[in-house]
Amino acid sequence: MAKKMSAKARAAARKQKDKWKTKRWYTIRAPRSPWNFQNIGETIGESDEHIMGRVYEMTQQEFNGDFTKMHVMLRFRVTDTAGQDALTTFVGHHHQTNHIRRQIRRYRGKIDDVMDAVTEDGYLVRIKPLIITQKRVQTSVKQAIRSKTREVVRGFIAKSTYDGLQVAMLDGSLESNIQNSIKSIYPCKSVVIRKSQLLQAGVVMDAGPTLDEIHAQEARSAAELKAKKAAALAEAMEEEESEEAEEETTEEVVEEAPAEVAEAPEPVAEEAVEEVVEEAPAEASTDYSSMTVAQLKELLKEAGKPVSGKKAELIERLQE
Amino acid sequence: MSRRAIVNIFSSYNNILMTATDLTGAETIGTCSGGQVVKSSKDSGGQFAATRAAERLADTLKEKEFTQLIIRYRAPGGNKANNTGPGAQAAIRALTRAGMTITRIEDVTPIAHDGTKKKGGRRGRRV
Repeated sequence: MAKKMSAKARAAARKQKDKWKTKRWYTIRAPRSPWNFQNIGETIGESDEHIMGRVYEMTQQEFNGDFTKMHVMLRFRVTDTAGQDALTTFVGHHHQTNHIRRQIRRYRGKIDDVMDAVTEDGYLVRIKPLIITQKRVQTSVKQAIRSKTREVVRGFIAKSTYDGLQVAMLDGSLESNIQNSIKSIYPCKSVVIRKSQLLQAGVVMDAGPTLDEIHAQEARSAAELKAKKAAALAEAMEEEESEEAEEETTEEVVEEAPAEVAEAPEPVAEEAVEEVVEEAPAEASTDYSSMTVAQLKELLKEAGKPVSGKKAELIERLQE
Repeated sequence: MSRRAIVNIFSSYNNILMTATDLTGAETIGTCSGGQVVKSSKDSGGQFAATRAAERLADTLKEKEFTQLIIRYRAPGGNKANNTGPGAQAAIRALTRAGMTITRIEDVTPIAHDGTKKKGGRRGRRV
């Protein structure tokens, strides 16, 4: 029901609007190791306390450009802030449910599992592998596959750090490890880690560049980009100028005219137009095509010719 | 400068609720609902209400310079209907028509992994 806003509500709304301006933007950054504080997004908030504990979810495609992983959602939780940067830890990933549902069909075996494991540096993680077999399989086969998977995953996690585990889960090396080891039991359609969760954090590793270094690097790359753009622009300008220099001076004026029209002055265009009419009607045939239809029509009007038709026709009529 | 936002759409047969948030989903940018834009409550879940509400939301988003959207839509879910109402599609279309770039559309309907009994009793709803 469309009710009238009460005065109180309106006042509250106004207050809300004012609040928006006081909020700051934070850059969300991926963990230092192994992702080097990669800039992954932004969030807005009133103060550092408000930002803390927020969970940012993004697809792996957005994260590293791998479009075969567009159904994989990565979760990062903000654990610290430094100035305008929100520093995060990786708290797990999951595959989108619709993608999983698409794979599960009749006459295929589905092997699901949940296991907890502790990494070398003391992170407690929960891993949920999902294996889809080519054909329908017996329970005994499923059990064999499940136990083999457990063995492989447990073995891997026990020998790797949390960073190593993140890399292995996201680039698919852990999945291919599992696949290779269960290949001899039964052919599988897909082997994925459907979901991972960080249950308890361990020792934080101090590997990789510091935030300051990353900031410096970003500033440098931005400056480089800017310089490159400026250089490209200068080059383009030079080319244009040299082209114009080759031609005659009268034409130069005409060439510049259309560009100037965009900015403002009609009179400039008209001047140029007049010059064309007076001096070089035959030579200016190339210039006609670079002019706008409106300008061409004006020219035709001055020449006393009909102004209707397409641009090509107008040019043809001018050249007669 | 174009910023990204998440638009959470809850669409049932009776109404459509839309909330635009930042990328973490914690900070609200703007909200609108079907009930706010039509006179009779029986229309508030419909396509027209959804379009109007989406346009209104798009205005607030534009005002705050958000042009890229991630859409997360859901039906009531749980032990209620798992299908979205008639407004969800219309709302998404209206957002695109309003000049928003939609980068991702996600279905976030809560699916029960078994839970409590659906209302209506043993013999169902008797109309």
